[in-house]
Amino acid sequence: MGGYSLFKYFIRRTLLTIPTMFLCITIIFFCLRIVPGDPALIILGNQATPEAVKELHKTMGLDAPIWQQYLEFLSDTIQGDFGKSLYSGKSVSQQLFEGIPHTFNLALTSILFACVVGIPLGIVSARKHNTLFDDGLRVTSLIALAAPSFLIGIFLLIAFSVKIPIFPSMGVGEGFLGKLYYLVLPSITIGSGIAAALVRFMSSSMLDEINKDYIRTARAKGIPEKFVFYKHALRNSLIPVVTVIGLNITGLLSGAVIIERIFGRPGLGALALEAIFARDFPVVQGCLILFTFIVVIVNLLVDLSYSLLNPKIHQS
Amino acid sequence: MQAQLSNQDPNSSVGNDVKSANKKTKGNTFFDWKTFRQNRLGMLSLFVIVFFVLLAVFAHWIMPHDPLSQDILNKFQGISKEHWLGTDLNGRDVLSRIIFGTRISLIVAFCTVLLGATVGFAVGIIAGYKGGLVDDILMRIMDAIMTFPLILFALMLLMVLGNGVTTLVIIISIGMIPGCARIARGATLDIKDSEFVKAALSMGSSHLRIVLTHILPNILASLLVVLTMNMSLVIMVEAGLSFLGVGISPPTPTWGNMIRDGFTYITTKPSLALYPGIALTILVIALNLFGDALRDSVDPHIKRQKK
Repeated sequence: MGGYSLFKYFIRRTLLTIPTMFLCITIIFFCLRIVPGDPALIILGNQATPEAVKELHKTMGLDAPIWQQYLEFLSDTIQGDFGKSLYSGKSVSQQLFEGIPHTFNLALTSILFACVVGIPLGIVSARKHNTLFDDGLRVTSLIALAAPSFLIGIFLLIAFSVKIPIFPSMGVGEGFLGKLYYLVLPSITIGSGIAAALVRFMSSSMLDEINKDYIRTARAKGIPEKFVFYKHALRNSLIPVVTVIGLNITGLLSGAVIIERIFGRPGLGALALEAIFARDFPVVQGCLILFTFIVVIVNLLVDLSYSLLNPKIHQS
Repeated sequence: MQAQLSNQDPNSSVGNDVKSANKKTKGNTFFDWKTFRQNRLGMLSLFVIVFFVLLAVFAHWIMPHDPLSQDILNKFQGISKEHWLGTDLNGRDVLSRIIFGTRISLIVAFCTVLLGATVGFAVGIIAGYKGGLVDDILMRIMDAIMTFPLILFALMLLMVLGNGVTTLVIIISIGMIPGCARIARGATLDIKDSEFVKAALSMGSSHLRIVLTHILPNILASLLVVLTMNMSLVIMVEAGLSFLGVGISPPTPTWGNMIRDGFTYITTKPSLALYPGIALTILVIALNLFGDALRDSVDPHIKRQKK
């Protein structure tokens, strides 16, 4: 019973991503074309000659009727062909491929930092509920949650890279340790907001669990308090982490654009930004499609792991 | 024991629904000032917000200097009696620019939130009230919009539409619509099936009337919270976009492009980016804390009513 309905839920939920992706890439397609303004003119600037514009129309395939363009776009996208950059001539998918590792590293270290800081603090906060420590922690996390991440980045940069030169302000670094060194400030920037969210979630989910019957039973059975608390703490820490990641993924990607700019790091965000300034339509389009794809997949994984962690979800 | 739901039974839950629901629409239980007052952080944030609003409104009278007047000979000055926060790369007074920037940030944020919340709530109420296919389609579109990271979405549209305050406002408000729609839809669904709505319908009330007189007042609470939280989000997004160079362009001072200008000189004169950054952080934190406090003093009250 449990196994089969879980399987059905997995299939149903995964299939649901298809219409969402479809809707998203349709929105991307139309936003980039139907919006007032001739893309070719925007790229070439107002001084362009009519011949140059016509030439660009042909290269970009803009001379075909819109429905034809749309169908071509769909078939290309499904095959993973995002065209070529208008400026470097490089294949867009190639550039995306190159940018993914950097942004992925940043996201990974940010989430790791958030977990290492947030989970223990969340547990402690639940343990010391309603004490001065807990109150102070809650206020701090409220402030960390509210503070805009790019400002945290700038403050950290000024404090630990300019005023007290411990950390580098730009670049990626070489080798494993070198790269880690360059990742410290950016990860803390993105991670602190997530850590704050984790502290709140962990704390409230632990407080919920503490009052449940099975805890009372365990205590009645004579299991030492510490054991009861920490064993269940670990088990419950998965749900908040998954939730927070899911909720924050779009914010993470948006943040990547700005943080990669602030810390001079290459990656998908930097790629998208450069392309936007250069009006490099194919690259912008490719980046957007990739970003929405990432968000959809992450949401899918979050929902699926939810159903694994909380069996009630797929049984309905 | 409560199997019977007869109308003659004075203890029936039907009567209670109507009574408590009527209390809800009367409006006097909508906002719990006492609870709010006890939340010290919330009160502090309120003062901070009012302070900034006053700064914005009375900017022209408060500013010591013209925010646009350049004085290249005196650029990069430090703190002085003449310029309380120093001068920037063009010799303009930083303090005046920050004060003027308050006005711009607040006006842009307010217009955006008003537009986004109005459309969003309309969509949410329609989706919640009509239900069925309309609901499905609208929510699918909302989901699709939510999948886009807001800043990227804005960047993409700004690329094709060009900079400009109106464009900025419209674009950011689009990003806000799904969130508002969700909340409005949830609140509408909660109320749609309650007894007093059914009673009103049976008395021949038109749908529009029900929406206006019953649903809207009860949504007002969540609307306020949404407005506050989204204001901080919009201020952040606008600053971020200006920082990236696609928001409001210089020489008009907004906190975002002041940070951007200052960023170029971050190694030599970090205060240029720091001061507007601090102002921005304080306002955003205040708005968020205020929104939290607001939500706390509104929610439990509604929960109590639902008993």
